[in-house]
Amino acid sequence: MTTTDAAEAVAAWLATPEGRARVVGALDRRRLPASLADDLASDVVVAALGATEPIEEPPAWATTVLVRRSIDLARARARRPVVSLDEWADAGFEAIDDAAGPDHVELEAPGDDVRRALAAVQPVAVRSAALTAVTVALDDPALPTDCPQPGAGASASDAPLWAGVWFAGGWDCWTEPDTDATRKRRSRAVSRARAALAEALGATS
Amino acid sequence: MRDDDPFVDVDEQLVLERDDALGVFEVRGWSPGPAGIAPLHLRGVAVELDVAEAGALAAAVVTDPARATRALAALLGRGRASAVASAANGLLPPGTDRMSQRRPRGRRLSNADHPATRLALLQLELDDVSLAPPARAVALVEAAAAGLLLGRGLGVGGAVRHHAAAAAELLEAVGDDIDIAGPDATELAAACRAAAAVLDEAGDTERAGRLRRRGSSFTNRTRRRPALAAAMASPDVRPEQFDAAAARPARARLAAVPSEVPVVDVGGLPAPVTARARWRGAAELEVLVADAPDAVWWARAVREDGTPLAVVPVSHGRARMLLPPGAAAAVDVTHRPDVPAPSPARRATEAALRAGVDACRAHRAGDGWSAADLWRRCAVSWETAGDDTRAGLAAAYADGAALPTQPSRPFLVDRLR
Repeated sequence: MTTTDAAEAVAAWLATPEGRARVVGALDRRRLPASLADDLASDVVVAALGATEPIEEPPAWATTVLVRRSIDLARARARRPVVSLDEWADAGFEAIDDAAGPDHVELEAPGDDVRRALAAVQPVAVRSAALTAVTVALDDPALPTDCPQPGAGASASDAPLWAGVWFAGGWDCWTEPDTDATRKRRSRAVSRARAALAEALGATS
Repeated sequence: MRDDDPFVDVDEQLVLERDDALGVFEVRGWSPGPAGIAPLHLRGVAVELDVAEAGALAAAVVTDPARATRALAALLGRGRASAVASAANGLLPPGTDRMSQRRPRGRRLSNADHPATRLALLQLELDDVSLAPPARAVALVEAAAAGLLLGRGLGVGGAVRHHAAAAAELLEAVGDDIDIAGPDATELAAACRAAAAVLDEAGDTERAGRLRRRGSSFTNRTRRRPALAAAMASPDVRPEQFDAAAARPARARLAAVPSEVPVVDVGGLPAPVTARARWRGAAELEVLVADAPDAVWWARAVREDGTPLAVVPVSHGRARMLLPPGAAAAVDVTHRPDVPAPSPARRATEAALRAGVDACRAHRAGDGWSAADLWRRCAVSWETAGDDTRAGLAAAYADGAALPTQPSRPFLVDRLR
């Protein structure tokens, strides 16, 4: 079982009535409020993602970690990094393979439904761009003057995605002068964000 | 800690619980109070001590029954330790048992000044990533000295050697930055000698020598003049150093800019930083992170129900995000954007625990006013987290209706913070 598979198995077990009961039981053992149940379950899944040894029996493994993590919750200043920072060094658009997505996306679903569907999108830069695009498309906030806007020759409907990519840290998608390499980078980032949005809309419909 | 003079009082009620399905095998005592617990790892036993009622045993989780005999005997006494051993050997059925009690022979002194309590509380201080290097160095020395007093065979030797070695290195690195004098300096010098003894015993004579020399340099020191007044008078302090946006005339601001600025949570970061937010427009929020290292961090905003609103990279200490106008959002900075943002209940719990630990420190230092203020904050946070019992206890501490039990003297590190 790979680490990801094991983490998924742990998450699935925690969502079962038995797993949920164990989470609540672990909190109760430390007399902690039941409102922390989702946080505790999330801590266990994160621990599974960072596990260095194979997880043979996800329920048994998760039960043990539940007890430990509930102790951490009762301890001041216990929130700690679980894996190294290096893992997130490739979180930008450079890490994305060329992605084929739809040419156009109409945001018709309620904004928060789409946002929730985007919550787990990876890489995080794509999630970032898509979330901002939702806000720009649905709430029409005033954009800052330094945020690039599509000019002549570009589709106006791309404006939310341009803003999304720019706020997501894709600043090198706009250079002066606008070279072929820059355009290609921009097109790729916008396509990827659009594809993530399309998938999120599909999940909410 | 000795088995003929155990840490836990004989009349203290304890419950032994063995749950094979949960993999739990533990002795439970005092229910953790509003400042949470301070952990202490002994051989085969993970001990949890209450912070507000310092020295009260909250739980002893038996992690390795075969190796835990000595630590359990020192912690609970021989009688109770053998009951735990019976349970471990399957002589008692799984379940919950009130542990046998002997008739009390008179109230013993509080455990608040016990070396085990001191070590656990000092390790809690060391957990704080924002602890400045000079204070950290002093806390390490004190922790090593407390560990030395705790005695052998309990499994704390590795941690104590680590504290002593780290103290030797850090004390040298911080140079003369430790502002300590008089009796405190004498106490620190003694702690340095104790920590050096730990290193001597481990064969690390070179570090031990350095630690001793450093310790003796603290004796007969006079406290330096506070630097604040000099800094205020310095020509280097200019008005421009303060927030330019705040200094702008009110009419220059847009009417639509929200008046409430969210607090930025940096509690989940691996480094000590401070952060704040400010509105750059009606929907654009800027998060400013001071002392951000060169790492990939993200600022994010979520609604109270957990709906993500924005996640943006922190670049050169700044992150800009667009939010739906009027959205009430909780904002944090994280290095783990794949992990869901902490729930409001978790934020409140963490804030309550921090306030509780800080309140205990203020108590130790004799600063009753600050302690009361911090307990009040602790109570509000527990109430937000949905824990009325702890909220009530924290409020009682704040009002003076109840008093937390703390070590009779503050730690040296308390005076340096």
